[in-house]
Amino acid sequence: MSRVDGLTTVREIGYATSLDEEQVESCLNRLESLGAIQYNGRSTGAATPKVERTATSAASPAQLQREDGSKTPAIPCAPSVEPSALEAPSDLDVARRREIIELYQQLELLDHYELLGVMRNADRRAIKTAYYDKVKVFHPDRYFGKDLGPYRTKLEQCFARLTEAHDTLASATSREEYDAYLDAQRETRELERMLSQSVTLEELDLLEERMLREFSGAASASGLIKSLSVPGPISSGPTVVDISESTESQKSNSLGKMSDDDRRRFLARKLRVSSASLRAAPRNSDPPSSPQSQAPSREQIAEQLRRQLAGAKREDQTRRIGDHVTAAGAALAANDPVAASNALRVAHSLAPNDAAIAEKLAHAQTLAAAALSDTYLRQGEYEEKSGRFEAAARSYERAARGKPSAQAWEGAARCLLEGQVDLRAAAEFARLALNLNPEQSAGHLLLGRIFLAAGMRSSAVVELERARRIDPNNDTVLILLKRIANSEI
Amino acid sequence: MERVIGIDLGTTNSCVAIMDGDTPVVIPNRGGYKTTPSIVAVTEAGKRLVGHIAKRQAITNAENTVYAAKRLIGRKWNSPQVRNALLSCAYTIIEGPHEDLRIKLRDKIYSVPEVSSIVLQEMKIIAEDYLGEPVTKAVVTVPAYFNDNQRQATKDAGLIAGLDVIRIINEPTAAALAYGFGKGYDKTVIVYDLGGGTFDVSVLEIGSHGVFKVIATTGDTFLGGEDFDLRIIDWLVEGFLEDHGVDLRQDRMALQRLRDASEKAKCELSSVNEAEINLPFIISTGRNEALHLQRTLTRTILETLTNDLVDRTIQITRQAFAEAKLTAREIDETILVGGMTRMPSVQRAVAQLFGKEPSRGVHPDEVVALGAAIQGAALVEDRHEMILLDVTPHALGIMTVGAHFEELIPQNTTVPTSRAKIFTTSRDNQTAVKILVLQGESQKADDNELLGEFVLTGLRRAQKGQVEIEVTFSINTDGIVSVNAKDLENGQAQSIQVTASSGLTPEEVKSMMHDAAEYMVERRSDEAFEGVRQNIETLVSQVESMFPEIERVVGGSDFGRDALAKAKAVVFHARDAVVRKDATLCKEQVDMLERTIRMFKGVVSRGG
Repeated sequence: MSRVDGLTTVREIGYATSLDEEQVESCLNRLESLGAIQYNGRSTGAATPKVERTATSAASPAQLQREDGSKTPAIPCAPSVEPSALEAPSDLDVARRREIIELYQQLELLDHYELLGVMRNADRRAIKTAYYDKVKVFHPDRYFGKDLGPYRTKLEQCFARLTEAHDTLASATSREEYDAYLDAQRETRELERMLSQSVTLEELDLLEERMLREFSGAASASGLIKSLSVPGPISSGPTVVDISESTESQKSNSLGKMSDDDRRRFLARKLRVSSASLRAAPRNSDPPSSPQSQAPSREQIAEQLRRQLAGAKREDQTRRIGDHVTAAGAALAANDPVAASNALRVAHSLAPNDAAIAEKLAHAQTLAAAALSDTYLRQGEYEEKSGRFEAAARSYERAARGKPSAQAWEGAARCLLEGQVDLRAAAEFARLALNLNPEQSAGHLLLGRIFLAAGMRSSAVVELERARRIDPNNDTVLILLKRIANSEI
Repeated sequence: MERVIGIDLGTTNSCVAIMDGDTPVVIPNRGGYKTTPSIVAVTEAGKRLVGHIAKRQAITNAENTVYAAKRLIGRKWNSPQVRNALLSCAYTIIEGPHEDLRIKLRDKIYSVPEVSSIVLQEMKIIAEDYLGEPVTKAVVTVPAYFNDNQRQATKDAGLIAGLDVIRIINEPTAAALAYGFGKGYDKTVIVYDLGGGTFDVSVLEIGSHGVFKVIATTGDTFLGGEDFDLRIIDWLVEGFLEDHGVDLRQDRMALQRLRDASEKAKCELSSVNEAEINLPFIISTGRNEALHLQRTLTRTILETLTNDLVDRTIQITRQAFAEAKLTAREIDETILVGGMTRMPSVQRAVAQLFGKEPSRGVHPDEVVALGAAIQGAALVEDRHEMILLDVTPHALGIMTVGAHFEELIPQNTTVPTSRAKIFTTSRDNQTAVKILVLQGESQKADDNELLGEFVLTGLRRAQKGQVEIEVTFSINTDGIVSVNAKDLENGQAQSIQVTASSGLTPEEVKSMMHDAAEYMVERRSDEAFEGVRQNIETLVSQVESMFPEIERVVGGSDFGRDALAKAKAVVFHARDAVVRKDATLCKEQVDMLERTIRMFKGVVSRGG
């Protein structure tokens, strides 16, 4: 949490804490829902540079614009450059060194458009102009014969990345593919965030339980418990926690989630209750409240309150379950299986014995996984083509787990092999692929190659022989078999 | 500040230029010519000749005159192009170590870069003479389609010639640079470069920010003016064979004469419709009979003989703009480079392809050198009006299972560029991994050019698959490939041994550099001496011309006889000093001769 300072982006946090983006985002979401942090209108790190940085990078990445208003923190502001990084011996002047370091730090964080400083809908001419302008600063020839010290490799990487960005966007076909990839990435992230948000509701429930346990013995519990009961107008100050309000807003939110503000307020109040003096007037006269003796015993009060609470909770819960199920139905009708499965998951946790709900949940989850799966498959294909094998393997695996297919499993296996990442997993995935599609020589060939890479020659031969039986004319298979036979590999 | 020259090292002719303020200018040689033939010869006396004088004696010294070395540079002995050259070259090409080539001139064996270095050295001298100061830095051009071996060999040639080749640039790019420098154009151009031995096509974008970006480049490194000449030679030889039953190709001198005449006729036919080829006494039959060759070549015949060559260039040009994803219409300007583009059939074909006349603003023989000079100045003088973004003309990759070619860096990738790949061991305790690096467009490794076998040696002993080496393949702005390796476990640099790649080893280059440097010193002192020698010759002939007069005036007296005897002695010593090439002695003799002349003059004036 210390990293959230209103300026650092999600990716940068991930960069700094070595978590991947999704983990960071789910943490942030949890923190947000707990009210600990706040997204400022969805554009964290808008154009306010940190105080200690002088206005050098005026025309540089700091002024990038994101017009699509996506949930990802928008303008990745140039992170501050540590003074020591500027001091290495070099022929460059300080301003230039800063420029190079600033871009270098963001190379992995920015997409092609951001890197070049253009809008998503920029035309070819704008992209070229942007590239040419940058190239005049970052091309190695600009510094011919100079000793750049440690800045040279950074400069070269900046140039390589800029060129990659330009080349991808300059050609219509590759730009289209890249745009599709960006969209797919965004989709999967959005979907995952929505999935992970369901967790917060459960966490809220847990929190609620815990608080009850903590305060059930205290005198101040009365005020608290009353306030946790059934709907009624609030007559006290801001220290009273008002579940009604939140239930109200829960109902109004078709996805069964509270609006962000409501949730925040709800939780903030809960947290403050412990220290506040509860001057709450009784909200309404509940039937179970004790009308009799002036001074009922503490235990009696507690018992009453507990019963009260239980009853209130049960009613509440039934209502909530109903709400969630309705919401799920609406979501499915609107072709949003992920939202539906969220809602149903909460309903299921509230009523674990309800078979109907369980069935609905399973159904919605299957649909959701399938929806995600296609997107992941697309993502994996693009990443594999760009040579990012580890990322591609992950995407393919997710696709396969969502909607098992030989294609997805093979993709995962292939990328794990290509990137020399994890041969054991590669073999497992290759086998899964074969299970789904056994009469394909490519599948056997792939498994064979994985075995070879792992040094398991005899297993490799078995698979290669299978491949040969299916496709007797495959050169690669024949050559591999021959080389194994000759003990060359 | 040291100035950089730009050298267009052409197949047939070379040119050198330099930046003069804001304009590049071509430097003429002593004879006033702006281009110098890329011809090297060794005379019977063992004297080295370069350029025009080498060309002039090519016929009589055909076996020991090398031309078109550029067609051989960086090639392997068993390549088809070399086989081809063996058939039609008058000079001797032999096999060298590790599949390299060597050329035999008189009793000395030269590598091809050495021969080219002699031409480069000549261009260096031309520049130094003109500028009056030493020149060590140069930008040298190569055809865009040259592969890594050819580029390395050209750089070696520069080294041997004592030049620091700060950059190798592609000829079409240089031409575009000269065309667009300082003009603020915003155009897409295509450069059609048909030179003496090579053909290149490049598609470039010239931006008003001064960025010259190559989008695509392709070509044929064995297609050029020489091939057009060969067609004419074939036509003449076959005609002669039919008429006289004699194959002129058997006689090297005849072949050389044919070459000269064919080239001349070809050039003539760019401006007239008929050219006469007249070669009397072309060959003698065994029966003491001399045969003559006389034939008229018309433009129509020439075009018929060479149509397929022109078609091939058009086909390659189409490939270029297809690769650039453009249509012919989207090209704003066509720039013609190279002497062959003067030929009407070539100009017609290009105009037809693009639907418009090619640009006339550039001099096809000089534009490449001018571009090289501009780039040289830009690099060294910290000028920032322009940046060149060139591409690599061939895909780079490695050989994999099944003799397949796995591409790592695609064709037409902007340079500098690099790509890393992780290699690992397949057996326990394996200490070496071999990688074959290739360049080319075929999916089959055998059809591509082998750049070298790179062996990662001294690997850590470990279980198979445990050692991970990251190998980085880089192509720099010269278009030259380098390979570096790093052990991922500890980040240490991994040593690589390069074996089985053609070309000169560093030791060979060093020793040739030494030879070349010695030759330079020898030549310089030769030139200095030449002045002195000529002086003595003049004085000696002056003295000798005065003998009859002296004889007449004072021949009878003792004084007279004494004087003459002394004069003759001086002449003798002077001549001797010349033969010995003793500069100091010569100087003395000059003094003596001058005194003798003064004395004679005195005698004549008093006596006569």
